[in-house]
Amino acid sequence: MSSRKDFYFRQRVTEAELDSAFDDLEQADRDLAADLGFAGVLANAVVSQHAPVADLTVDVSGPASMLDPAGQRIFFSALQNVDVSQDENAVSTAVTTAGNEKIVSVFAKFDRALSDPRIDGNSLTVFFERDESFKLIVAQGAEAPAGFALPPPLRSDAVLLADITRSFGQTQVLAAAISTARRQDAFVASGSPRSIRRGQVREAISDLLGFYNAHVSGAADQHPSSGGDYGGGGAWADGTPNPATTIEAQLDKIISDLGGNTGGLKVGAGATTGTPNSLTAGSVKTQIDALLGLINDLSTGSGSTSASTVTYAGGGNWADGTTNPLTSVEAQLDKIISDLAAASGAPKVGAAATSGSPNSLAAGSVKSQLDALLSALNTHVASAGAHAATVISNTPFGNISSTTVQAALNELDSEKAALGHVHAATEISYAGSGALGDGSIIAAQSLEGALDTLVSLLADNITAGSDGAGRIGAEGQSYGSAAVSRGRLSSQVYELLQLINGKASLGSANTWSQPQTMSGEPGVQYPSTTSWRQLLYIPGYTPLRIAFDGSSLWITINAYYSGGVWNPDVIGSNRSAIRLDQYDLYFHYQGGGSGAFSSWARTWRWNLVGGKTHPQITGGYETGYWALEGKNYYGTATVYLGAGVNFKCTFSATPSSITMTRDGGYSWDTTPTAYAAQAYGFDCYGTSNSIGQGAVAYVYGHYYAY
Amino acid sequence: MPITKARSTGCDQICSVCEAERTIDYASISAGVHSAESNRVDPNCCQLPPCPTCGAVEYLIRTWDSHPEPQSHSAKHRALVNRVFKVLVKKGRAEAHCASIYAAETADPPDLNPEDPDDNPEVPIDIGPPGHLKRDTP
Repeated sequence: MSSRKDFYFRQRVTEAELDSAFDDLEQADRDLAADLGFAGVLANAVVSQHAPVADLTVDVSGPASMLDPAGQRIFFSALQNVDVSQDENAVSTAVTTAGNEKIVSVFAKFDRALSDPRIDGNSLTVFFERDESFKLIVAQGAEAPAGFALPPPLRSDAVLLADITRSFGQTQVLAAAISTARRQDAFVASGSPRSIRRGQVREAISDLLGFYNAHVSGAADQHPSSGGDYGGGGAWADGTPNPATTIEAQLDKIISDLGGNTGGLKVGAGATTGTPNSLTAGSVKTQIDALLGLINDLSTGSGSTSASTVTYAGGGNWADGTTNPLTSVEAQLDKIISDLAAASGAPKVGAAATSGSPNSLAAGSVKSQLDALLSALNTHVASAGAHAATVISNTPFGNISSTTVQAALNELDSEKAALGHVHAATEISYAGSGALGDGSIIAAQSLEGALDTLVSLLADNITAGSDGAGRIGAEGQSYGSAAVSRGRLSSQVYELLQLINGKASLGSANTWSQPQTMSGEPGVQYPSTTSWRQLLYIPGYTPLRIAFDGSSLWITINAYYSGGVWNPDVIGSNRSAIRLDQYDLYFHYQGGGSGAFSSWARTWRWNLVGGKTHPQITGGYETGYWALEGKNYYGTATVYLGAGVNFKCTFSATPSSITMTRDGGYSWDTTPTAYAAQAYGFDCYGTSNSIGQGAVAYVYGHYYAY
Repeated sequence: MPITKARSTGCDQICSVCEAERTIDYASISAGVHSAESNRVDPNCCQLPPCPTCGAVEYLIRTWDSHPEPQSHSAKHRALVNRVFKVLVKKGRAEAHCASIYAAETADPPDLNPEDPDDNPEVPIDIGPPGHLKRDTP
């Protein structure tokens, strides 16, 4: 309540008195706010970047209401736009140095809007209406490096709405640059993890209620377990205590106690009734131990159900009187198997009498009945009249159609042939298999036909190479030095003719079909009788042979032709030959190397038919002379010359090596180049030394071609 | 003055005049000869360095006809010389004016040693000297 003025009847009220009444009411209003501690922003007045396009102004939302520290009410309804590019003193808030910044603060301040001017008695103008109003003030702090700028101080006559960070070159104030950390809301309560910044009591209480409800319902802000106390409690079943500690520690202890090896002892368990067994009160551990003991007893102890522990009370005897006394089921089963598997098993099994005729079995044991059956069977088999042939069946086969053994024997006796009888050869078959000397085979047929064929084959003297003699085999024969080999008779006749023709016959012309020894030791073997016919052989260190191979006459020294190659008589000694045929004359030479050789190392061949004046050489080499000579007719210069070199002999193939040797010369120091070689010769060219006009240069040497 | 061995890096030679033996590196010779004065080339001729003992100069001749006695030493020498030419061309040792001739060739000489010394660098292709130089072969 405010102080009062008691205006009275007929009082002349002065201006000061009337103003004092308003002042009292206004002061009471402000005192009330101050007494309640309400100061700051009550609603809205939120500072944000300018919309729709940010610039160097900020927007302040409305309708806004607030109380300044003096309790004066500040109110505006519409959204306000504040230029922060300059402060309340029209000084620019721009940052002048790169890397620096400054803090600009926006304050709201109480003000009055004066209106309705009137002229008072003193001729002075008085604004009769003095409405509550506001001002938005911009203040700036000092420029400093980024992060070190200080904001302007709070004011006792204004309410801070927001701090804005200005930076170098800034053209827009964005939301990130606007801070409400120092904003003077009416209710500001800082704390952790929650704090409250509100303008009205209802809002602040609503926030507190929300935090509390979230805490109680468990949605947020729960107490950490380490923060709760556990006051201690009773001991476990085994006496382990549980002293006072935190909830967290006690939960860990419970898990540790129960998870350990002694956990079962800590959990108590009441008595459990049952028949025949029951469990006494104790712990989980003691009752598990008791149950385990019972299980083990059932497995192997007195309560076991295994065959070895189940009792067999004993029973009757086997048929042979063997007893079956008290024992275990396991032992009794083993005894039954043992008794029956033994040789004496059959007497133990009884058997009732079995009737039959003519034999029957009396009651006894399996053994006694088997014995009776064996005796009856042996008696039956040993009896001569056990079975008549008339009662034994026969399966008809071939010409025997009877169906009993007796009838079949009778049928066989009645159909047999007489002791003496005749077969025609045409009725006897010949199977055919063996081959005659030439491989001829007499096919399967009648004996008559086979004999006719044999006579025909042996009488054959018409078919060339397949006559009767060629079909008869014979042992080898010898007489003196003559012998014929094992084989067909015709081949032996041929060998005999060879022996006869191989000897010279007096009084008639001889035809020589075998190599003859003209000189030397008898018995010398020559490798070929068709392509190498030796006419003369004179042995020695340089053995001489004259031979004819069908087309050429050979005269050889230390060489003969055998097995497709030439062979020396004397290893290491040189070998040579002269060969003459209808077209060519050859001289051959082979060095003294070892072993056989297939071709001669060197050959000189004169072609008689072609009539060439020089031989052709194979495997040899040639040396000869070359020379170049020339004259310089013009100034001082070198002379370039070339020449052709003709081989003395023609090579059988182009030589693969030509060597030029300079033997001498004049004003020509280089060796010419061999060039364009072929079997007949080659080119050579070269360049002389530099010589004067009219001078002569020449060079000469020899060549080697291989 | 024939060659007696072919290796991966060179060949051995015996001088037909003085019978001196030496190894010639492929890097010192070229396949083919060219006459600057006449501007003629011979791709079948290879000039070896002069004999350091007597100065004789050998020319290896690549041959395109067939030798009538393939087992003789002269036939083996022809086949080995043809192989050396092939190795020189393969190693880029063709005389500059003859390189295009070798590049255009589509067949080898008929008498060609079947071995390539590069296939087995440790073992040279050895035909030995001709009998008239060393007397120990026919």
